[in-house]
Amino acid sequence: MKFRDSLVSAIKSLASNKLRSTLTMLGIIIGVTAVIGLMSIGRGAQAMITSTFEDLGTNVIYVLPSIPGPGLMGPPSVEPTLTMDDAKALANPDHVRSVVAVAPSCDNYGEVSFGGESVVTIINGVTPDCQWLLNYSLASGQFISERNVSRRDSVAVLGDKVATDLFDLEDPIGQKIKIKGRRFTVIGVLEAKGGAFMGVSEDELLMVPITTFHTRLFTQQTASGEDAVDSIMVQVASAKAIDEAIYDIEDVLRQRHRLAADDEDDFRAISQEEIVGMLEQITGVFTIFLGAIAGISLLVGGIGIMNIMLVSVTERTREIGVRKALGAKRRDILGQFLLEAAMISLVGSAIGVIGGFIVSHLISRINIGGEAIPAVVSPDIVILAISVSIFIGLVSGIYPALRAARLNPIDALHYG
Amino acid sequence: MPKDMIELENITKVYRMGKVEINALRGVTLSITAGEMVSIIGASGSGKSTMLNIIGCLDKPTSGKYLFDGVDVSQLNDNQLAEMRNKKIGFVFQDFNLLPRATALANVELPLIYSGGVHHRRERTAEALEWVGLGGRANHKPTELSGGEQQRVAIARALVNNPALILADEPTGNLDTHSSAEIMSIFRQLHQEGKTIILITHETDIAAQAQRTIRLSDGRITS
Repeated sequence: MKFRDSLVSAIKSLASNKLRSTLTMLGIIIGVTAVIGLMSIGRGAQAMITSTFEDLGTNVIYVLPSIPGPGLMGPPSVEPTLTMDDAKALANPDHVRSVVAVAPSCDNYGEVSFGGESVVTIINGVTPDCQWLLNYSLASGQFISERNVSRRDSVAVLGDKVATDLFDLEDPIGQKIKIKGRRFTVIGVLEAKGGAFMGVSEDELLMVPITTFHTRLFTQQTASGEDAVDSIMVQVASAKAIDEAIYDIEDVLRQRHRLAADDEDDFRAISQEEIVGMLEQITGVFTIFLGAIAGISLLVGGIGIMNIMLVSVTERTREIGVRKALGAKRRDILGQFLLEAAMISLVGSAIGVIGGFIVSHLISRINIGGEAIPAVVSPDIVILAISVSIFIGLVSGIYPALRAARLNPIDALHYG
Repeated sequence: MPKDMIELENITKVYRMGKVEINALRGVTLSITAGEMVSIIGASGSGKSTMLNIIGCLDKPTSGKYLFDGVDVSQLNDNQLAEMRNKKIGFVFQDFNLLPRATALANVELPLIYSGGVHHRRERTAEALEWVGLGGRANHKPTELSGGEQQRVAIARALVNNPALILADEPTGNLDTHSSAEIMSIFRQLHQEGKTIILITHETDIAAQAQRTIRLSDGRITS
C-alpha cells in the first residue's frame, strides 16, 4: 500500500467522524497549548530576571551577611555581620586587588509623605559609588555626595515612581518631604528604568546617605554594636579579576571578623555572574516544572487517542476483515490505524502551536507589578511540544493498531 | 488435459471451543480444474464455509495438503497468503461486505490499493464497474444501492485485480429471485470467459447451474 493511499484513507476515515475526531484532537490541542504557553511564561520570567541583573553594571561582586537563601530574594538574613568599616577595608587596593568601587547599602521599608500624599516604599541607605555600580542616571538634581554622607545630611534622591506619586507634575527638587516623620530635602530624581524585579518596580525607591539612614531612620547594629550594612557591592576592573577579588574579600573579612580557621564564613561573596547563573538555574527548573505539568495534559490527550482508536478498531472489525480478505497485509492495517492516530496528534499539535502563540501573546500583555512577563515562544519549545505530542500520538496509536493488524480475517469478517 | 488448479488432499480442520473440539472437516480430498464452475452444497454446519475459507487462503487446515497452482499453501507465511488473496482470488460474500462509507468506485478500487504498483487504477476500476453494468453508479455509496446492485459492486471488486479464481459464499442468499438470477448470469458469463468459480449454496437450483456439484455433509464429501 502506497503512503499516499494510506494518507487519503486516514483523512477520509477521520473526516467521516468529524465530531469524534475533533474531540479527540482537543486533548492534544489543549496539551500542546498548555506546554507552549506555560514554558513561554517560564522563559519570559527567566529573560526578565537575567536582564534585570545585567542592567546593574558589570564585574560586580555582592557581599552579603551570612548565607542567603536561594539567590538574593527573601528578607535580609538573620545575623547582620557586615559593617561600614568592612566596606572601607574592601575599598583599599592593598586588600582587594583591582578594586574600582565599593558601595555598602542598607534597605528597609518606610512611609514617605509630602503634603497630603504619602507612600510606603523601599528606603535605601547608600554612598555615592552606588550610582555607578547600579547604573543610575539622574533626571534632575544631583546624587548623594561624599559630603552628604560624611555630614549625615537629611537629603533624599527619589525614584521616578515615588517622585510622580508624591509630586505629580510639580518639581520635587528642593522640596521638603517626611520620611518616617523626619524632614528630608529632595536633591535629585532618578530617570525611569521601567523594569521590575520580582514584582517590585525599580522606580519605586528612595535613597538617603547611608550614615543618615543609620542615625535618623533605622537603627541596625551588629553583635559588637557597630552600624550594620545589608550588603556591600564591590566592583573590580575586569571580569578576569573577579575570582581573585572574591578570594581577597574572603581573606579580608575573615581577618576583620576574627574567624578561626575552622569557623564558617559569616558572610558570602558572590559575583553577579554567579547570581545570574543561580537565577537562571532556578527559573530553568521552574520552566521545566511548568512544562511537565502541561505535559500531563498532553499525556491525558494521548490516552484519549488510545481510547478512541480502540473503539474505532472494534467498530471497524468487519472493515478490517474485508480489507484482509482483499489482500491487505498486517503492515497495511497497522499503518492505516497508526497513521490515523498520528494525524490526530499532528493536526492537534499544529492547532495547539497556534493556541500556544495566542496564549503567550495574551500573557505578555498582562501587567504584573509594573511590567509584563515577556513570554516568548521560542522554536525549541515548539519543536519539543510537537515531537512529544507526535510521540504520544504514535505510542497511543500503536496498541490499537496492533490489535487491528492481528485480527484473524475470518473472525473479523463474521464480527457483529 | 487441463491442469488442476486446486488440489485438496485429506484436509482436516479442528476448531477448539473451550474444552469441546469441533471437527469442521474430517478429511476432504478434492481437485478442481482451471476454468471449472463448481458448486458446493450442504446443510449449515456441514463444513462448506470452512472449506471455502481454506481454499481462499483465509484459514489454514489443521492437517492435510493444499496445492494451489502446484504451490503448497501451507508453506506460505501471512504476507504471502495476503498476496494470494489479493492477486489470485476474488471473494464474493453473502452480505456483500462493502465498506459502508466508501463509494462504489472506492470499494472496487480496494484490491488494487493493496496490490502496489498498479497502473491505470481508476480506469481499471471504472472498467470493472462498467462490466457489471454499474458504470453510472460509481459515486453512490452502498446504502444508496439495492441489494442486487451491492452484490454487483462486490463482484466488480472481486474481478478488478483479474484473479483466476472466484469464490462465492452464498452470493444470492440475501437477494430476491430477480436479483439472484441476474447475479447467477454474471457468474455463468465469468465462467464462459474462463474464470474458475467455486460457489457455496444450499439451494439446489442455484447449485444446478454449475458444471459440477460437490455435496458436503458432516465434514466429508458425500458425492
